Amino acid sequence: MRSVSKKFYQKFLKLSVECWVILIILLSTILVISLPYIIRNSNILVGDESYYHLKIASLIQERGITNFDPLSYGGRQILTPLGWPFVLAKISSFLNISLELTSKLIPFIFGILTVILFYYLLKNIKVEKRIRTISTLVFIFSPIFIYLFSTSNYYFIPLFLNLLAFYFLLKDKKILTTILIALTTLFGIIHPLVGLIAVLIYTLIKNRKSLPWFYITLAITLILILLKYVPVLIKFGLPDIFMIDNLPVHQQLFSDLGGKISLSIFALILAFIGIVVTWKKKQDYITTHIIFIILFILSLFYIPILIYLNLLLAILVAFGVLKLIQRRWESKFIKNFTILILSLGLIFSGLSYAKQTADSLPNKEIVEGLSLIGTDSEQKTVFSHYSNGYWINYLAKKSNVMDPLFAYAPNLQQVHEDSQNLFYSRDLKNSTKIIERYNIGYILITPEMKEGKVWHEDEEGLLFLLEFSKNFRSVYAQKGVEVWEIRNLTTS
Amino acid sequence: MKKISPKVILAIIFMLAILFQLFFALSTKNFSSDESYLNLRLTEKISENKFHLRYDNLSYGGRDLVYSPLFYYLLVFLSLIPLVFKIIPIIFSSLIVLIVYLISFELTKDEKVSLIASLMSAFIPVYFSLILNSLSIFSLAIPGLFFMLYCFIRIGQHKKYLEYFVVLSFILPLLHPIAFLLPISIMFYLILTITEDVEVSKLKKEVIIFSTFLTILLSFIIYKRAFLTYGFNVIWQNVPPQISGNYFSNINILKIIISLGILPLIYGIVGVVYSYFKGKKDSFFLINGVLLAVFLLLLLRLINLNIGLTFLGIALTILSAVALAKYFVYLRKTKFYNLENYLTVIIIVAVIILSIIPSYIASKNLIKSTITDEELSLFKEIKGKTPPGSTVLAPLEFGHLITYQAKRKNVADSNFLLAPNPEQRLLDIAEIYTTPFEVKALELLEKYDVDYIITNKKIIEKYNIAEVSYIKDEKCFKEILPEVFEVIC
Repeated sequence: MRSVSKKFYQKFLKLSVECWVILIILLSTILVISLPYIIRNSNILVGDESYYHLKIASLIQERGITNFDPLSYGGRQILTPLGWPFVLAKISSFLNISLELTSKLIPFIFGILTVILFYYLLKNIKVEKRIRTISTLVFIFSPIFIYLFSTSNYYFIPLFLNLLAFYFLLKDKKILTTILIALTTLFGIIHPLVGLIAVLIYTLIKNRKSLPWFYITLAITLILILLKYVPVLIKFGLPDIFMIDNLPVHQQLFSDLGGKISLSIFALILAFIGIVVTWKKKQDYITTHIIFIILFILSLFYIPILIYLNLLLAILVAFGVLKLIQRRWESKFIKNFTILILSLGLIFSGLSYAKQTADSLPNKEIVEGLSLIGTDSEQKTVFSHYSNGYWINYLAKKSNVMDPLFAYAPNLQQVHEDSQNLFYSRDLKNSTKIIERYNIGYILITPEMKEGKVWHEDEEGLLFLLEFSKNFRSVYAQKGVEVWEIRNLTTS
Repeated sequence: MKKISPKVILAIIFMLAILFQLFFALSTKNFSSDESYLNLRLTEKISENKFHLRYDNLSYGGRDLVYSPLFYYLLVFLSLIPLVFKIIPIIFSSLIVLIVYLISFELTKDEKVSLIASLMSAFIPVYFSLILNSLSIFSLAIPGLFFMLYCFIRIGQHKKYLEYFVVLSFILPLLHPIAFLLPISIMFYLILTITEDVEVSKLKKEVIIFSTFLTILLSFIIYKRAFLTYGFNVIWQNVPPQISGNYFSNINILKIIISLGILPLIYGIVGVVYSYFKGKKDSFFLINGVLLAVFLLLLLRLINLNIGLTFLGIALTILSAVALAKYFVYLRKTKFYNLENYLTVIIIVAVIILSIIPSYIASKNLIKSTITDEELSLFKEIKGKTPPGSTVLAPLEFGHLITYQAKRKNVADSNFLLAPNPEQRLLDIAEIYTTPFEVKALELLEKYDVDYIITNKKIIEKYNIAEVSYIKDEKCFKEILPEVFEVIC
């Protein structure tokens, strides 16, 4: 009797410890995802990509699934994945809440679900408790996690779907796995491919008997991919490679150096220690090493691969951290300090990224300025730096001359040249031609544009014309954000 | 005759080093480097605002600042001492004498040669040109870094060295980014010990992991904005190519030899050879690691030549002790063992001739080129004759004088990190002074909102012109002070 009660007590204790761990993980998740909005102290959505999804979602709400975007580049085909905007539009309509709120709410919920799934996935592949706890915490504090679940983006749903697919595979529910991987095709081409690679490796190593099932999944997924992308390739060909203002790859890779979808340098150093540690048990971890290296190399060519690499990185970091903790240190004093520094380093990258996200535009002034343009019922184009293009579309409901979506953009080279001419020309005649060509009715100027993003001097190019020509009227000017209206401007 | 204790001799050398610097530093009220005035201003701003300056509205017409602030807080703390800005850097920089003695003694266990090395370190000409009569962070950062090396060597012998090392690991990155030299040096040290199969203690390995991570973390925290702006290029500190090129444009082997000191160079090289091929002690490899790290940084043009040479000079001085110790050991085994004292005297005389005299000459030249009271008063007068918020144009060398003495905005100064377009600004400043076309000059003056332009003798000499060609045009330029013109059109 006594031994039964002791066993029960031990089991309860074990369970309760696990409950505490999960509770801490959940609280950390909620805190980290909310952090950018807490720091920002504003309800305005962050970043530019969020506004692209809002625009497409509102188009879907208005017209149903559509393949034409009337506002980008003055009108163009929509060739980006419609998965997330569709989900956004439908949930917003179903719950009868605004698209903006849905844009915050859905990533938040998926963030919590992804963390729980990641934790249980590790548990199911028999990862030691300490490793899976540290891995999950490292994952939560990673810059990529903050990007995925604090902003509205293409990647968080397919990441969740892929993790869920893998979880069902472990539970031997293959049909569900097939369905989920097939679903990821709605969110872009890399997600089903990464999912298939993971499933293939697992099948080859753990369950070769399931290879026929894998081939079926592969066939279904490939058919879906081909159905979606072959018509695009036939009609439009491959997209032109057009790169402007791009950070060098090494800067894009690390959040500490300004990357958007990026890793923490500290995490990478610790992951390196993790690789060294797991190298000793090569047979057990060879797949982890191979996938890590493949994903790292691929990420140099396609940065969003980092969202998958980040999962492996979190696991390797946990091995690195645990090794440092378990190592027999000569000095306990140095050990404690080192572990403290490493923890602070990991947290610092996450917090620093959260602060960057919180500080990112648009701000109140940009929203106000663009909303003012939105009150004009005439369909005019708004000219600004291309990075402001999505805001112009969604907040002002006006078309832009250019936006960051360069792939398959109509007359991209010409549009870019005209934009540059308009920015830097002091010749009113020349500028008027461009303004008429694009039916530009407003010009939006942000402080960043005047601080080097476009101009370096006060009266450079268009700024000179705005100041001295009577054809431009300032309709909004707050904290460096300026909106100019163009009137009575003709080449004749 | 009673033998003088080595501690007394060391104290005498330390005092000598202080007095030598004081002699020159107190011969002028002014500082010899423009950066000193930046450091003065940053210190004063802490006194005024109780927090370090993060946005400078005068430098480059207004810009963000990122820097390690500890040195300035320390100066504020010590500011009750009279002549603090002259005396404290001298005391800090002279500490190198004691540290070189300690390291040399640890490496050789020979008091005599350690004292000789200490004397040599007191008079490294290039060290003087870097810190003499300057309010320079290097006066503390260089001794600090070498003291960390000393503690590192002695880790494992006594707990206090570990504690000192840990404390300094926090302090050094808060002082200056040169703290990165330590992990790089240690990296070379590890490579050397591995290749030569020399055992490094477990505790030292732990300390290496700790200090490397700490330096990286603190640097990321302090220089976060710079990292976000420049990425890994932050290591070049946004120094414009025309300046970084200058670091190495006047390289002259003879000049370098004299700057390092002939004796440290000769004995130091012997010490390097001995320590690598015969000594094979891990502490020898640590000093060799510093040499290699500095070579690497110089090769990649990541540090100013003078700073690099200073580190080389001190490291070679320490290794000189190793060579001298072996030399005396060898001598004692020969028939000439009774000449040891005479040889010691000869070496000391050689130090006086080959180190102290070049240091004296270098110091005298430095003081000679120091800004004069007359030149300085011009900047004070500018303050009285111009409205606050106006912009004064002068070349880079006068940038911090404009902001500190005249309290006016400059167009450019030597604090390049996060400075807007320093490369273009330097080109434009040169163009303004040298162009024969007034229209071009006016366009550039307007570009930077310049209200006043200084055209003193030093500037005329710098640009090798007879005069600023258009400055006599009274419609556009009005002389408000001798050599200072207001831009009026």
